[in-house]
Amino acid sequence: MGKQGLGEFELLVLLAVLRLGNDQAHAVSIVDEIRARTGRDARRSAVYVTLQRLEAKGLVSTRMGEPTPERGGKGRRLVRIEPEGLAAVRATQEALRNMWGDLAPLRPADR
Amino acid sequence: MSAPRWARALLRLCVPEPRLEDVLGDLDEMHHRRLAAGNRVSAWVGTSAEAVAVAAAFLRYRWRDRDRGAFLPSLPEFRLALRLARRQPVLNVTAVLALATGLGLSTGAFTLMGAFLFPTVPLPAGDRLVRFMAAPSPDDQRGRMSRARFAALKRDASVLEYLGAYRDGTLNILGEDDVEPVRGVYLSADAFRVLGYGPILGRTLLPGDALAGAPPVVVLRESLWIRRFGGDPDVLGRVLDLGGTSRQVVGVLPDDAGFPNTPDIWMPLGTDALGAEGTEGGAVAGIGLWGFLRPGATPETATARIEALSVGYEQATDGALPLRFRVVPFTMVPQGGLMQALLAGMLSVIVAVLLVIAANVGNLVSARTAARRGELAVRTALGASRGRLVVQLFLEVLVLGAVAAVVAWGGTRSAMGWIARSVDEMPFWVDFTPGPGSLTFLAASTLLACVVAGVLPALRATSDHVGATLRATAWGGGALGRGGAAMAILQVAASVALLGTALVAVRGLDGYARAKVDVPTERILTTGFWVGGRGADSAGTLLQRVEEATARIPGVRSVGVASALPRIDPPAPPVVVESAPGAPEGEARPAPVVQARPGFLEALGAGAVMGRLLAPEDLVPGAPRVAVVNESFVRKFLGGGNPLGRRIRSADPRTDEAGPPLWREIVGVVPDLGLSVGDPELAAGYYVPMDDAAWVYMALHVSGDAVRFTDPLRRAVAEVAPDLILTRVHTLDRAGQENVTALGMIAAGLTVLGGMTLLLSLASTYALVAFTVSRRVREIGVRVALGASGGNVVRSVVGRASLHLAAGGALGMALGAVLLQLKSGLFVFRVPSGDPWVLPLVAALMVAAGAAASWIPALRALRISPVEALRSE
Repeated sequence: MGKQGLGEFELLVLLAVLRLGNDQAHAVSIVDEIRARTGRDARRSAVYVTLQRLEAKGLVSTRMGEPTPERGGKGRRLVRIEPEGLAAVRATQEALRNMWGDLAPLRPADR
Repeated sequence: MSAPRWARALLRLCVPEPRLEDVLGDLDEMHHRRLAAGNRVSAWVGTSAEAVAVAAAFLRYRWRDRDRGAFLPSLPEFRLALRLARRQPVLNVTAVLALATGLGLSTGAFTLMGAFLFPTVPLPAGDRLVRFMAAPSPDDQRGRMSRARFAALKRDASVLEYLGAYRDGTLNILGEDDVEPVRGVYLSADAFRVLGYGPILGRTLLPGDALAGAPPVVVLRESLWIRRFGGDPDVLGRVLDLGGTSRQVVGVLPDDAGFPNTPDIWMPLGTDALGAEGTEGGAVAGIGLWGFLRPGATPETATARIEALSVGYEQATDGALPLRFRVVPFTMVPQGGLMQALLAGMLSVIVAVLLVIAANVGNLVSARTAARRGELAVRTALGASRGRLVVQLFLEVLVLGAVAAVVAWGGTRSAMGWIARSVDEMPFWVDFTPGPGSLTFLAASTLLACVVAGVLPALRATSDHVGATLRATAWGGGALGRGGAAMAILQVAASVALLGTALVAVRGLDGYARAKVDVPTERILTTGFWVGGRGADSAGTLLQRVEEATARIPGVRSVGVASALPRIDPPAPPVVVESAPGAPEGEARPAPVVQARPGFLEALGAGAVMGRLLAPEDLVPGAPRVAVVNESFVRKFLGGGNPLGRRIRSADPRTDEAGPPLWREIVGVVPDLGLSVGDPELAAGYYVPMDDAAWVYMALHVSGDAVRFTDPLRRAVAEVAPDLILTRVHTLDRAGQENVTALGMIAAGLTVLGGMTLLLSLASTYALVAFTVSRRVREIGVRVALGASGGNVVRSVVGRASLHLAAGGALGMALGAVLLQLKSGLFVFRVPSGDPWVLPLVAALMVAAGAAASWIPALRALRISPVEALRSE
């Protein structure tokens, strides 16, 4: 896994890829997934560069899908998570769980 | 319906090749979603905004994370750009000259604007320097200041760190054998404590110098010290006769010192200059107040505080005048808002001109780039990204832009230096030297111009859509796409209109400069001076004393004073001639009128053609009202009949008082003496005895070289009126020279702008037609092979170009006609209107030159052999 750990948005993107399943994840569906689950206004522009960065780190791999007419005859880049990516997500999950530990759940008033 | 073309073009430029298909596909997909959800406009806006965001994200990623080299040009690319700049010298020199003109003009306008509107006061704490503006008071007592009020303000105005006063002290240095007028100021003697000026020699003024009974002293400015005393260090202790007061020189200040009115001499503002102690009635006029705000205070808070102090002072003091002041930055320009708007308008027009120039240069660059399609294709095949090619093409324009910027900087510096030298009486805080701000502006405008001239054509040249490139870059398209045709037409129109107007202005100027005034101008010495503010009686007495003293100079034949000189156009209010008794009055028509004293017409060398000239008894109060008319007047207003005894009156609605009309009897006729040079319609005018004047001119008719009488004149006048400042002492043929210079500058400006536009229009016509031909080699070859005639081929090549030239020429003639209609407001004198041929001639020349420019490539098209053409692609 990456020695520097995952950024928050990188983690969100990897989790979205995991949820969507290999070969179902691409920039548009990832944005939709993050928006639906977190309510955050994720930008496609951010997803593109995050995917490029994750691919450069070897955490995901991509391939071009079949072209479709509504995409002007262009294919989409489908994302698949690599074992290193899975390991990175696990490591981050572990780290967060340890940090969380026995902290009581936060109520709104504590913020 | 796919995403907007420009959005896709932007992404092609910014997104790395492997990711491009995915990103473009997503863009189309999202655009479809938006179209399904809303209307076309919102879809267009949304998709465009998203494309910008995606492009920015990729650029940021490439810049931050890796791949910095994708943006920074490499050394070999720089070398290539330089090598290319050396090739095609004509095209490059045209582009550089055009860009340099635009850049120089805009940087100059920016520098001028900054000098007036955002000046840096060259004083310590100069940003807190303020002056008091007197608000109008009921009986116009503004600017009057008493010693007690000043002392009260100085004591209690805690918002001010310092409060001082000054009064204009322009006067004559009366030398042993010459008289020199110098600009001077009476300044609070403690002012130098806060101004921070260090003397070159001796000392500055000290508070003790202002005390009653202190010996009178003066501090000189460096330039006066060098001019008058040759920089002699022994000047300290010398006594100067300044307008009748002897003052001892105690110091010399450097030329950098210019507070408050760029004076040549500083004198202490004595405490007695503010009136006698303790009396409010002795308040004196013409005093200006100034000071430094305390840190944190603003002009507004200071105004409020001074207002409160003034009210308090007036309540506590008997007979105090109701005076109100506004505290404003010392550098505030009167009507600053208007001036700001004017300057900003000028700057934006010039920047628009710069952009038009840049777009033209873009056309030239497009044509050049087209010839390198092969090279670009090879580089693409070798793996160069589109961004790289664009950077390369942009670099090539940047090389041209950099050369142009250097030329423009040099030009701006020397132009500003010339302006600073030729405009005197500028406030001391106005600095025309282009500084770091101007340099930054120049750099930014160069970059902007290079983006317009380099990036747009580069995008087009590297576009995937070769067909679109071909269509867009053919004549009428150009670097700016469809707007290009309109621009080409407008450009031709602008050059026709500007050059036509310039030509008319030059002809008018020439007529003005050459107009013969039937007066021996080289033997007449003239000067102008101010006698206002003394009352009509004492001004009259003063003028008589001055005339008498001047007439005693050996060699002076006659002397006279008047309100205007030949070539200096007097006002021309409407005048009515009395008809025969019982007949209706004639029509009121404008005629120039000069107030003159006896002797003036004689000094111009004029004799009475009929009747008599003005005589001393005409000036006596209650004397019959008389006028002397010129010969043109007799012809125009009196039909050539006998004028003597006829009566005229002014019908000026501004000066007409209620009561019976004030008629003047015509007592004499003189030849035409240049009453309104440059405007034959205003040649008919008349002279009346001077009853009230503030600014007057004096004419001396001498025997021999008139210039030699300058010093004797100054000495003679100084003897009877040491405080009278004679300005513009020169021979009559130089009178009105300011008009000629100003108009010459206008005409030169119009000619340069018009010529530049002309050159650019021609260059881009040539470049675009040449480009079209180079793209259509194959087609033309086929057409020739199929038997097309030479005429057909040429028509197909230059057809659209000629159409645009003709349309531009016609529009230019219309524009020029409108400009000439406005000319009376534009020029001081009337320009000849009988030149109907000027505009059509310029338009015809322009169209002919344009046709010639497109003819050369068209001929080249004819020489294309079919075999070669078919082989070429």
